[in-house]
Amino acid sequence: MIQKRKFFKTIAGALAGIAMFGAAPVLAEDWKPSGPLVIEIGFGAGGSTDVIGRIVANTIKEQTGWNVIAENKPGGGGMAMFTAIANKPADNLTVGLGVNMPVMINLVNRPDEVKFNLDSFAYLGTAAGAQVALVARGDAPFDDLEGMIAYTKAQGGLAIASDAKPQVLTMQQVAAQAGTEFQFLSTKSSAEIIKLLLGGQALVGFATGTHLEYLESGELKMIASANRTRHGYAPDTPTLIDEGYDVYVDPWFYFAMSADTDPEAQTAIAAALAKALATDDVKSAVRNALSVEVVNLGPEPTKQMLVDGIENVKILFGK
Amino acid sequence: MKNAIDRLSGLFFVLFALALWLYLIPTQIETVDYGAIRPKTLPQILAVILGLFGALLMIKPADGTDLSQVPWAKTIMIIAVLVAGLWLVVELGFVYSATPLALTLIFLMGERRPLWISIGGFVIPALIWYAVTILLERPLP
Amino acid sequence: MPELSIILAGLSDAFTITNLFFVFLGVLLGQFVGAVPGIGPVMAMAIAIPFTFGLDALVAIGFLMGVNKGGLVGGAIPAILMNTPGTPDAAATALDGYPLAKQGRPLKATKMALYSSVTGDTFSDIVLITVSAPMAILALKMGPVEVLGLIILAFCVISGLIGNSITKGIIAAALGMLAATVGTDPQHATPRFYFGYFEIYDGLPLAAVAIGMLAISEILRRMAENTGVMRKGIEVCDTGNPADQRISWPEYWSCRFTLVRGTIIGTILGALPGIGSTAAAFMSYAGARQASKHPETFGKGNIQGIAASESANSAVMGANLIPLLTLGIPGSVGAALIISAFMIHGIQPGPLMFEKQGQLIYGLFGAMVMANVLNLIVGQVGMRFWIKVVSAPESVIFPSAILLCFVGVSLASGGISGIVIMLIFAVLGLVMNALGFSVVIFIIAFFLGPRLEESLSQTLALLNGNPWALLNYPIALALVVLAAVVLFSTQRKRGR
Repeated sequence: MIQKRKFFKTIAGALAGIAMFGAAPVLAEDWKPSGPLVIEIGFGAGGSTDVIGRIVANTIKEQTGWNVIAENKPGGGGMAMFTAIANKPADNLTVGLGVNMPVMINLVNRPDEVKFNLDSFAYLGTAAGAQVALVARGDAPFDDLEGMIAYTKAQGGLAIASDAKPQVLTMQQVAAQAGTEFQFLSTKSSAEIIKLLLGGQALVGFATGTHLEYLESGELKMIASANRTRHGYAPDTPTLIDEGYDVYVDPWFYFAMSADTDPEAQTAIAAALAKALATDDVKSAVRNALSVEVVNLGPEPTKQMLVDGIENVKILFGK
Repeated sequence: MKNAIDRLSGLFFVLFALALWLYLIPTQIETVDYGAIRPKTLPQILAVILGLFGALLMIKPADGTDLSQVPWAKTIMIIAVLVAGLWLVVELGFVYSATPLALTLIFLMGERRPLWISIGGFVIPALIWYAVTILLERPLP
Repeated sequence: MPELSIILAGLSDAFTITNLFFVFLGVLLGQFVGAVPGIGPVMAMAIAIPFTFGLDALVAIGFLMGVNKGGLVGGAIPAILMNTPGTPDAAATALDGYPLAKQGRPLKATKMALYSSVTGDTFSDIVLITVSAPMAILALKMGPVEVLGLIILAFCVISGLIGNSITKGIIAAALGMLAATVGTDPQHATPRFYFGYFEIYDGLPLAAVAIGMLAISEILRRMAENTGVMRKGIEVCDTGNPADQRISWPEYWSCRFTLVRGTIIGTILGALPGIGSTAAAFMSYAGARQASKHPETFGKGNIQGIAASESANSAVMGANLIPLLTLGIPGSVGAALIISAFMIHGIQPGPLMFEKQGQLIYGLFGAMVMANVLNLIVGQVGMRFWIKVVSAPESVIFPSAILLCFVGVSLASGGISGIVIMLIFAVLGLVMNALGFSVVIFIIAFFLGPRLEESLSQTLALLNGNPWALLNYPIALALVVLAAVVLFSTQRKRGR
């Protein structure tokens, strides 16, 4: 019944929209949500995505006076949440917050099973891109990628701690090209990787911001940037691409709605989101959660980022 | 009779283990060709354990299982009510389906006192609605 | 050790009326919400976080600690009064708590749980406050190989609970582990057994599985057995003997070894990220039974059983903060939520936190001590309230509990799919119970299975095909030897 009522509302809204189209262009500021705006976070409570989603929801609520709710919709690194958004009728009220990597990997590897594609969504913007670094213990007997590979060859292997599949694939490409082999310690979080490094169980691992204070203290050192570009805090540390390996990972936190959402609603929500992302509260929360600055690409470039990213993921998976 | 039930459940686990090994694992798990533990390693070990101990249960039943004590008809009826209730929740939302679901269960249990019926059927759902939607600002299913 | 002035400043920050009020509010909310089947302490915290945005950092974190600690006490209440634990770690409490409540002594059972919980909690807080730095170094040294040893030990200790038929116990454990393999595998992150449903791509949600198997299946069974006689949910027998409704000092003192054992197990497992309170509660319970001169009285309302379980699962939380405050590593979902709260308030948890935020941390310690005392006070009133509630007719209690489980699971695990999973596992639990397969063993295996697989795969990656490299891990080897000894003695006791 509720579904039906929403359906009629949508029809009525669409008719009203058409009727007004001839009369006067509707200003984005005039749009108001017809109920609580829900930001669906594609991950469980207590991670960096969770922090971003909650603070953004709260800030939009304060700035616009709309009722905004943050809700955790975990499953498949955001896949469950985005699948639901793409396949439910658009209600102009549901915004998804996810990370591009799991979405792109699933689109590349199991296109038949994924019940959406990049065109299923209207893209609103990004919160930030994560900086992925390859780091080693401070007392490791090497300082750069070349040294690390030489060490691996001499030892007959090297365990690398990672918390995401793309990182593993990246290093497998590196190993294949360098003619050696790594073992992978799969963990569930970057915090666990830091623990393995500090505890001496692993020599090398991936980190996404939590490593910064250990770089200062000398307990860790940075081997390479795994992103497409070098990191702002370490301009002298090369990327894997600089080192001659044509692979990278570029995780982005992005917001999207159903593609059928009213264009007015899209514009209004994207504007509200952009305004929220520009506040100090959100900036400092993002800095704390990810150790990077807020970067909102805006609607169109966000989509382009995903389109480009898919090509890179195809390279990673050898497709 | 008691042993027969154990033997039957043993047989079930043997068949289940076979289905797991021959059908479910090959179709539902991707093949990965590196790493010490592959995605299918643990499920395969578990299939072997289930098969072996299922067979053991067939050969040597445990100390007997008595199913006659369980009121199956009523159990199945209550489960059917819950499934119907879930269907209502999906179709109408919690707000409209909580009262019918609660009232059906209350009547099934034989409650006929108007006070308790109204508490269980109306006051409790209203309290849940108030606590979740108003106090916690969370959407109900 | 920071300067005394910082410690004193932190403590004086903590003991203000505002703080007292919010910690009290948190404990109240936690005990209340935690006692609702379907919503445990973690869910209670997740709900409470948005309310803390506007508060000062210390007030906000104190409030959340209150919610968490209150939730630990509250979680025992449905387990004891209705045999419907809302979280798997309270399942061990139900084993002896419910029989005692059923004998007409619910107040005695809940009081024992409250005192044991606060005892375990307080002790582990003291460890946190006094020796967190050395404990953190110890925790760092416990790598994947040692964790694997510990999980093997946990399985061997818990095997003491396997019941009459070893065959059926092993089948139940294998089924539990199999259910846990649904979702992405820990080593390669490829999906397993998800049948195209992205809702279970990350695995079956623990809340839905645990509540379905433990709570809903129990409610279903009792509803079906109801013969139309309008019984109360719980009978408080009025013998006129006050000893039936309280815990005397000699009774509490008789549990001292059990409490100490539970607290130590909880504190150690809590300081190590990722193993968690369910394993602690069951290890402590099995250990208490193993050590008892009268193991046959366990499961029939022995207060030692309640003491074992509650002291261990509550000790986990204080110790969880050791890796959090010293390394910035969350030891559990609850601790991860605290990290979220820190970050939202602009504080980065990590090794430099004692240096940069010393005053705040000692303020937090003050708030934790406050929460423990308030827990004791609120609990005295709260459990009487819940016993009153559960004294309503079963015909109203059970349907209401089902509605709450529907709502709680959908809040905790993302909507309708959680409810579907809960009902499926309720039916599975019912069938397993009828056929004599232990549901508790299933849940423990479901909980520990993924941790076993993850640490095993990490261990094999570290060994890199060389079994002799194991000799570099003496602690792990010692744990495995201990596990073998425990297994041997458990089985010998069974044989007798």
